[in-house]
Amino acid sequence: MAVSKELSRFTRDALAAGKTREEIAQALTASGWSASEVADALGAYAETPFSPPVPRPQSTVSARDFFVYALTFGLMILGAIYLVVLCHALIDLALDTETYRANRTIRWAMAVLIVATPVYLWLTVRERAKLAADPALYRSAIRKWLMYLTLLLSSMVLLGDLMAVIYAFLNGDFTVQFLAKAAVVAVVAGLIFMFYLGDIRKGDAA
Amino acid sequence: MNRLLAVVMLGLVAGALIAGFVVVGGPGTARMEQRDERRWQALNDWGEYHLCRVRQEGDATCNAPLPRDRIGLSEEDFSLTRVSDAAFRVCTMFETDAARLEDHWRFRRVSFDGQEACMAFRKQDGIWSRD
Repeated sequence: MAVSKELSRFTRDALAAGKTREEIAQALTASGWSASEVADALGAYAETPFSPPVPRPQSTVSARDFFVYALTFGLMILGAIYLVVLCHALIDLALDTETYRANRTIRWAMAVLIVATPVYLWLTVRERAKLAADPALYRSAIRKWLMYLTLLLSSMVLLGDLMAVIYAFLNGDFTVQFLAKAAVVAVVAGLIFMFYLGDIRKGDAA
Repeated sequence: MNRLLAVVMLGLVAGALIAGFVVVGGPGTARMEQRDERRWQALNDWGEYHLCRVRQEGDATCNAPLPRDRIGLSEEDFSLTRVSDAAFRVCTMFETDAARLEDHWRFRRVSFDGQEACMAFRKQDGIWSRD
């Protein structure tokens, strides 16, 4: 949770004045601040006798981060969508002999994947190398926001997919073709969810 | 763990791309399909032209203009076969592999014998129309 400027300044001044953490917490609680706000305000400074108080590292925001991560996540989402489109078209061709042969759709999806996949891979590998060299980059606020946004989108897709499967089952439309398409959506969204969940955990541990 | 997930995802992308190439073919196949699309339009034009002529049987000319050339094909490239007094076919050769033709043109009113594409017309209850 973000700590307000006034609260942060008060906490810093109180620690600098030699007040103990317990005294500061009591004063803040008595003034109406919640326990989590008090914990966040105190947690922003290292527990060390050094004076003035030493701030703990905070999230960073930079235009460079926005460019790199927005591009990376945008390509990932675009690639995921067209991977599903391509797999669905192939499933239709394999399982539904009455369907129209959607060659143009297949070619467009292939073109998107041929461009998006290597660029996404290059950006990701490059970023991993930078993160390994400087773990401070894990504190990028934009990176965290986009990773949580990806988790949100992939979990919503997974839930929507499950709802569609149950609806199809109840509606009597539960065909092999439908099941295969739903499985593709689940695998793609599931892999993305697990990949970025692992990343977030790694970042928290760093 | 993350590396394994990335490898699985990459495998999925690579597999889908390979399957895509197998199904739709490369740029050469796409160009053949585009030329066949224009052949189909030309076949359509010639079919309509001959339909116009048989509707005016006894009259040596048809008011319909000769189909305009779409792909460098002339009248000789389209064979006209009178199957009976009440049926005829107009055919031409397509370029795409015979194996792909049936699939690609499934929803058009055209039939195939190998790479030869034909449109059939017949007279029913005194009215000529496409079969």
